[in-house]
Amino acid sequence: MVALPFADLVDVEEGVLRPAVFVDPGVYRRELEQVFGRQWLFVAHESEIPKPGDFVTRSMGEDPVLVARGADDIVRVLLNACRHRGRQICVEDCGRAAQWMCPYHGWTYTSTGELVGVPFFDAYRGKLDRAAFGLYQAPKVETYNGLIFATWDPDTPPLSEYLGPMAWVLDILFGRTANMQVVGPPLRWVVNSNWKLAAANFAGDGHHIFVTHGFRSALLLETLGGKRTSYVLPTDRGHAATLTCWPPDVPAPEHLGLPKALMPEVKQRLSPDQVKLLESLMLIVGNVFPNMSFLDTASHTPAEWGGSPDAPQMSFLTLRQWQPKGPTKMEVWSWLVVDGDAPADWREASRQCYLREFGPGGVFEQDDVANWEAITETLQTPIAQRLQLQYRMGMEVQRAMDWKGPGVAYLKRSFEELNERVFFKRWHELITDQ
Amino acid sequence: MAIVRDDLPKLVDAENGTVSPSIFTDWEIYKLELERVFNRSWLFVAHESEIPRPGDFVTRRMGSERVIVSRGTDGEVHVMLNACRHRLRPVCLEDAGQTAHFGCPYHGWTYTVSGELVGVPFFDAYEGRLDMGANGLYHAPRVDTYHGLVFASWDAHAGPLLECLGSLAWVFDLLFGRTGSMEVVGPPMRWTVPSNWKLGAGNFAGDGHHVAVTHGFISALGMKNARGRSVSYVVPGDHGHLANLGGWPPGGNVGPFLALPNAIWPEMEQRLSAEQFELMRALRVIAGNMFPNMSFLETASPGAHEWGGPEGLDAMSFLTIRQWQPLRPDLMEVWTWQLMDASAPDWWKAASRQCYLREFGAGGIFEQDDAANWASITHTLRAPAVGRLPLKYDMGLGSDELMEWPGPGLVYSKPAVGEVSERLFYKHWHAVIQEA
Repeated sequence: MVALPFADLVDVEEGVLRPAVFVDPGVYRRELEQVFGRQWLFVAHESEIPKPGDFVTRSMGEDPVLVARGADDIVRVLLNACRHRGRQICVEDCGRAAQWMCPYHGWTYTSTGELVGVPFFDAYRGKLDRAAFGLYQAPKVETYNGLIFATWDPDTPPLSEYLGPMAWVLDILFGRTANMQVVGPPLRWVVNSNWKLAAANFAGDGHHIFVTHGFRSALLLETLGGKRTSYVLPTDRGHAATLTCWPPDVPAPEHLGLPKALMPEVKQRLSPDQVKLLESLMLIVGNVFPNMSFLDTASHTPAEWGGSPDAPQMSFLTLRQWQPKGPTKMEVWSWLVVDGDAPADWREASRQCYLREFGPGGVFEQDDVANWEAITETLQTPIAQRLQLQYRMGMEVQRAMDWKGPGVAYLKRSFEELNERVFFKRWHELITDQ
Repeated sequence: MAIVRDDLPKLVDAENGTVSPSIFTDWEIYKLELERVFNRSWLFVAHESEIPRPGDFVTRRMGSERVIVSRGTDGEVHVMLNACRHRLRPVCLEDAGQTAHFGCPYHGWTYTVSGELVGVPFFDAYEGRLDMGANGLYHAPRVDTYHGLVFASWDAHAGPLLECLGSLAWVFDLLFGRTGSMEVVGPPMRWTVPSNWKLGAGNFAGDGHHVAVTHGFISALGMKNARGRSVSYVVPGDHGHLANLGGWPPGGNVGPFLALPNAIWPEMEQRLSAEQFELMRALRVIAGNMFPNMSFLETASPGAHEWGGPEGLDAMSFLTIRQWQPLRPDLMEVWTWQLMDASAPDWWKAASRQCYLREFGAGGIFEQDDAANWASITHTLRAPAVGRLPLKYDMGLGSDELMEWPGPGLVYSKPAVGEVSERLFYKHWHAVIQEA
């Protein structure tokens, strides 16, 4: 296949994309540099590394990193590569360590990344400056509501500026109580799909639900009638979210199904506008560009999440990351996040709800993956190169005048593909940026 | 080891009968042949008897592409890319069936069996900007049939099918047009073989001399080898097609007309030309390959113990089509169909099926023998040292002589054994792969 110029890959005005966006090795190399090499990337939640010496191993694009709370209590993001020959010095998923020793020649680093041990150091005859060979650090690391982000680009603007209006939404999800924590280690699995199909799906594909996840009707789970308010929040930096309220005439759990015991704290931490919106919400879903998605959703009935008939309607909050592993492969990382001060039985029910619906065995997850893998396979064939992927639904959208948060939100009248267009517009800007 | 396109002229040396190992293993060459061979050639996709009624469909492959072959409510045969025009997800997940509509499992775009887009959930959200007429399933621009064989091409400028078939059409008359009731038996059998697809195609294009060794069990089982000089033609098609026709040995014709039942001889005589009918009387085997990847074989087995039938029958035969579908340079999916004249007697059809299953198909002895060779070669060719050694197709080089025969054009008189057919297959492949 003849490589297309990057400029021809996306036509945002027309809402069409070329198959090469998702399968071309040259495009993939470009996005590793321009997207994953320059954007803020989520790497961990603070509750995963609470104590000095705690670390987790993660990846930023395809680069393996250590996210470590040093003995000095500072969180650093260090390239997991020995400065001697580049071997990964830590082969664990997580742990607590005072030092890491490279398994090859034994160079040893502290939990802050300093090189402190070199076997046969004398053989260098004074020519090795250990201070210059600490682990390579991401130049910028910042935290927002416990979410740790890092970037390889020292010129990237501060995290709060980068997040823009999306910070207001992340407050509702991750800042509503002081004791948000992840439950256990993240679940991980490999999917033969380009990572962007998943990121865009979470950024704003609302209308696949009725077909892809149509088993909900088959299971007699109620489809919501009534007129409900739904906000679509796109941002210039490619982040996008959808916030959907319960219809006014449907008896529904308030506050995204959160337990009442938490509400005093929530009302104290969030602004009145955030609290008012949260009151009627049933769903928040979105994606922080490029590859961190979030979903907080309330299930309609106990039958849906597997609870006993008299159990309450339940919700869960998940954070997920689509890690690129080549143009046609990704590793999915999925965390369940709960308010640590919620009652124990609520937390357990939320976990049941999550496992039924998402995670590697979740019904929704299985449905989604089947689509993304099938598309990725088709897009690799020569004849598919004659065709385009369409993101043209709802080219004219109506501004939501009652949106109280920052940025400009739009009212979802029916369904639209606006947030997906915004995701790919930003992606295309970065790919074509010189 | 990667092949650069400058190396293309060196891949095949037809003058000296050698072929570079890389054409069986290299990813760049593989991708190039998907574009230049499979996306420009006429490709077999189905037999009309597989989709007899309006609404019938089968899903197939054209090279790496998934396609739907359907019969529309208008009775026309459609060959369409199995990809929704919204996000290109395959819309049909079945092997075969009958339907009024295909609905995409992702967002629910719905198409008629002829490929028209007729349903888009939340259509109003497009506010008039979605032209449903322009978003039907993508059709192969060329579809044609010959004796019930359905072919399609992605190349809008491909010459007519009949012109592409050339003298092979005359051979297809013998195989597929001799009666008016040819039909496939059941769904095709499918299995994967870790081999490059060309080893299967080249073998059927004309490797006659492996039979004595690879399939040597036939001597061990005491089955008779045909002896003596018999009718033997190698028919070189114009577009890389090859057919090999072999007759019973003189005085040993225990199964005239490829051992077909005499109940259908009158119809054959009526439908075939006098030359075709008389040639058929002498024939024992027809084997070949329509470029690139559709092979055919009709062969008669003398002696009931060879095919597992009752004593008393002098010979039994079967007709199979097979396709070597590329999945990777080192992997193919084999599809095989058995075809029968529906007007043959029931006892004969049952016996022919037994004969076929014993010898070919996923459990057939010949099939097992062949796959072992092709997989072994494909595996070996990946080694760098072996990668420097060309494969030899030079048997009988220089002794190929063209002659007249009952059919159109000139044919080679097949010597006892030779590799002229394979040389022609790879020569044509080489020409096509270099056409920008």
